[in-house]
Amino acid sequence: MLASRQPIARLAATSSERWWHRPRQLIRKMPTRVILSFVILAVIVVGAVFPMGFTSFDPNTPTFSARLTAPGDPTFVLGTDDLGRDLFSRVLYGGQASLVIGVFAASLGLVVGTAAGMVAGYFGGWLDHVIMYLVDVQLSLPFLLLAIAVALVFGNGLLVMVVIAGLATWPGYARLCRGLILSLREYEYVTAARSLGAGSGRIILQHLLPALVAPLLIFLTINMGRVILIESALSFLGIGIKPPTPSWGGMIDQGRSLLGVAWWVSTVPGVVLTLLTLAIGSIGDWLRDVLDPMLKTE
Amino acid sequence: MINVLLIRVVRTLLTLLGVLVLAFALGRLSGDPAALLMPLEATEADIEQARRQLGLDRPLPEQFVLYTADILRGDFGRSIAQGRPALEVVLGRAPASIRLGLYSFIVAVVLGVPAGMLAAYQRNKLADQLLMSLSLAAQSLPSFFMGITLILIFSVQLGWTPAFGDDTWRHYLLPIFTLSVYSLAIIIRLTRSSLLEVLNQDYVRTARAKGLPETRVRNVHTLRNALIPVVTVLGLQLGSIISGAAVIETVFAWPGMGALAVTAVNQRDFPVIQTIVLLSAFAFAFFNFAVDLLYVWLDPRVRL
Repeated sequence: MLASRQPIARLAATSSERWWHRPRQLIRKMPTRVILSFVILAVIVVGAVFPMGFTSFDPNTPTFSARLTAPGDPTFVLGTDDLGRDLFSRVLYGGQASLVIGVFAASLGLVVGTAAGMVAGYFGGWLDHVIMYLVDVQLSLPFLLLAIAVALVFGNGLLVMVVIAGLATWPGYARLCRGLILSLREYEYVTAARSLGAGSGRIILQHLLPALVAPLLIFLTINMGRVILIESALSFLGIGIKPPTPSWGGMIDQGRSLLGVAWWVSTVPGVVLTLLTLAIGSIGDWLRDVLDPMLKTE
Repeated sequence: MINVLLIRVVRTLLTLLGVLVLAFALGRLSGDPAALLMPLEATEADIEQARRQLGLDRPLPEQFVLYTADILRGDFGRSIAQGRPALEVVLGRAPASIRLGLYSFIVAVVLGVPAGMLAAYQRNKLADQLLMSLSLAAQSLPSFFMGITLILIFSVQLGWTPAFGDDTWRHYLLPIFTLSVYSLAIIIRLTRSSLLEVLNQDYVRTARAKGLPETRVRNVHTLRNALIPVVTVLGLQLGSIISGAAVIETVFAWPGMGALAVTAVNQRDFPVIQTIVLLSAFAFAFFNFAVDLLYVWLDPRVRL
């Protein structure tokens, strides 16, 4: 076992220490932008998970007397849409779709892509060819168009969206893992593990996977932003989450025809969506700097 | 070299074959083509006959061969919504999309490369930090919301640009900007990092040491090598521009293929979607092939 630990540590420890040995230092050195991003993320997550803690309005109940109320109103803090529905509560509930997609779709891509990439890299041969061929085929299609075609065939709804957005990201993981495994499997500790009688499954899961955690975490964060953007774009186009279920993309679409009279109907969900994706993006960027000196953007 | 080229061609064709299989499978899953083509009052027997005519009673591999033959002859089926050949419907919308995509692409490259160079040469100074923050932000912005915000500011509030359509050059400003932002950000970051890497190479130090003027070092010695990775992503950026176009064209009511694809989904017009998907895949493959050739020309060391 000792033989397996040491080289992995050497790989990851291009900087003097491994990152989880110095969490306090890490937080102290965190740039303001990143702290702000975590705060935004936390606020949005709490708001979406416990919307009833912040608003007593139902996101789908119209108040006809209060249609198109501007933000800043004492009752409707962020204003109302053309049906008189409270935008604040719709934004809170709408966040649920984005977060569910963000977590499940990104995880789906992670699991499928990592498994495929590791198998391709470790076993090589025809398996490698087939998996990389599938990656090539998917990457040769502009993804949103493929998503549109799939949505036409399988209909829309949360589950289809999770699958579509999840599939968007698997080729990236597959390529990343395959490349890393190709170089890792040449290490002595892998040979050592094999000569001690470890099977392929054990080598992949116990000896290779841990070395991939840092790059995968970075990738996962970046892809969460991507899948949230894909879902919101599809919902905006009317192909994603179906109204009346509130989704930010759908709300932005709804406000499009009202731009001249009520700017806030699109702007409120749009700003929240932008804040969320910006926050995730800058957390991902920071993780890359901290966790993986090799991948640094410089 | 010829061999290498040949292998590349074969790989591209194989990938396109995969795309065809995918489109075929989706088409079969989308519903019974015979029932879709027939009028509503058609009887069961009519549909059965149409099936036989279309070859739908034959085994799937045979159907796929027929399907591929049709595609190669330029027969992409009929648009369900318009009744005309799907290819005709799509090609009618192509020029507007190609113009928008091409201009956005040019803007991204023409602004992105110099901006990336500036960032690299001004490393860690104000200009660099500004460009890096902006491009990080630009990569995670929802483009459709940015488009709407631009419409709100420049069309609704200021009245400077029209919000919809493609009639005058003013119509192009906002869509081109919105569509190019993502690729622009990627190109800036990549140019910067690749230039910084090249600037660290020994031969650059040698060039400086032998007293060459800095402009010559920059323009002759480093730029060409620094652009090699940039060229590779250009191919991928075309894909993101085609994807982005579906959204941006809808935002700006641009009469292109992307907006057509979105309309077609709502009309459940599969033949039109399929045509757009296949044509984009063909264009994308061709473009990436051209990029590979350019790559070899830029860097003779590279083997495809």
